[in-house]
Amino acid sequence: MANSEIRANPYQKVVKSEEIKTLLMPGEVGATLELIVKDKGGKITDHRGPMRSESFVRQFLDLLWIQVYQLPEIMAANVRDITNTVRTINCGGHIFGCDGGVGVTTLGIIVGTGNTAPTINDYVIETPIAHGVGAGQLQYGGVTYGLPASDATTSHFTITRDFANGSGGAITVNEIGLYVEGWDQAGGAAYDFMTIRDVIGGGIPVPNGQTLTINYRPQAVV
Amino acid sequence: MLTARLILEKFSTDMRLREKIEKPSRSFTQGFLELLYCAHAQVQSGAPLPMTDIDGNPRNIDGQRSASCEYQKSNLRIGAPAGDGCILGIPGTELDSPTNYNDNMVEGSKVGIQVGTGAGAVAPGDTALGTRILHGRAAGELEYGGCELVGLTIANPNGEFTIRRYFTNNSGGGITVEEVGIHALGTMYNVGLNYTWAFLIARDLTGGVAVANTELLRATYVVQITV
Repeated sequence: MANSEIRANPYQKVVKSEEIKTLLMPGEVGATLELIVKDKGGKITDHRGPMRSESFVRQFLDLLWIQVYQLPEIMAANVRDITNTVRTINCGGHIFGCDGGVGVTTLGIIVGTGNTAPTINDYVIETPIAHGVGAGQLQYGGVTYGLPASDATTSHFTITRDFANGSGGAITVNEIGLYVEGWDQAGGAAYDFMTIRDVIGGGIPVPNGQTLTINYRPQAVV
Repeated sequence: MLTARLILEKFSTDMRLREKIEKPSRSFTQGFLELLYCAHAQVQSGAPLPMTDIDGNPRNIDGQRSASCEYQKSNLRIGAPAGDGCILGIPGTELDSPTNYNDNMVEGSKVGIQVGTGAGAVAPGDTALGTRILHGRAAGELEYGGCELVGLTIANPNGEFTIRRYFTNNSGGGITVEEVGIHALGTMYNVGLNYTWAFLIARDLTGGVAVANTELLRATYVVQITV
């Protein structure tokens, strides 16, 4: 069976603040997660959420600590990267950058097929889905963003990525994560870290020829 | 999910605890999300994000990682020295150190935990305390200690760290603290010409904590994530 021809087109539109659902309680900072599957013609075939993203993992707190504390090179702190290697990371402009481009599977929103419940010590997606059109692969689009805004109770911004299925068969996405960067000045290199991991109960099937759009919407509610 | 607890403790001059209030912090503001956005989206200096600083001025903020920003860019900084001790927002490197040092520095007392006398309701779009208490020893002022960060601990399913600051009343009279908040730095990068300002990222009402002359107030935020 020939693979379908699909392109992952970065897609972004303005959503009015009042249209964005608030699922967090007052005082909480977290994210909502929205999953949309569309066919080739753009028709929505599945729509989940917005739902609560449950799982900031420890690297989020580690990187936030480094940046709010402004730990420089000589006081860099240990953070475990997505290869299970502990890196010494210092403050700077890299921290939290998640601007993964088309086909990049080490930065931005990442999907997988693992379904083990998250723990705070998770450092990588359990079973990552590779970029491509081979069996079991999805085509990763570029990460896009919606600007920060607020209404009477909630502030938020949006991180979006498309995943197109040209693999020839259906793929069920069970887990979603966010990979961001940190900088090791002593080594002169950037490394990638997982800050959020969510498992989707039952998963979300992406049929061949269709595209999954994922919106992570970090929020703060007063 | 990330939450925070706010703890206010009042001490006598000889550090005897006189009053303690602990409550959930309710109020991370849009400024926190904006600074996180600048970092996540790697907002470039050529297309910066407009924000409003604690003095009500419009400022352009970036989050880019290029050049000297790889080494040290102070967006989101909360840790701060006491009082008038200043923070340089973007130190730069030997190749592109900024020449406008005054525009690139903020007093330590304006960064980190803050206190004020405003009692107006908190809104997500707040960009400043209602009425910030100034650092000093004059009437109505409190002396700001350093804003310290301690106790990063991870124990599944929780992780937390603590932000705290002492305020000493040597003003000669009583002061009632009605609001507490957090200021973080935001910066704008340019080779040889960098800028740094303070932005409100959290604000909470206290219900009124009266701090008599010579007493100390310790304000603590315990920031926690839970899986």
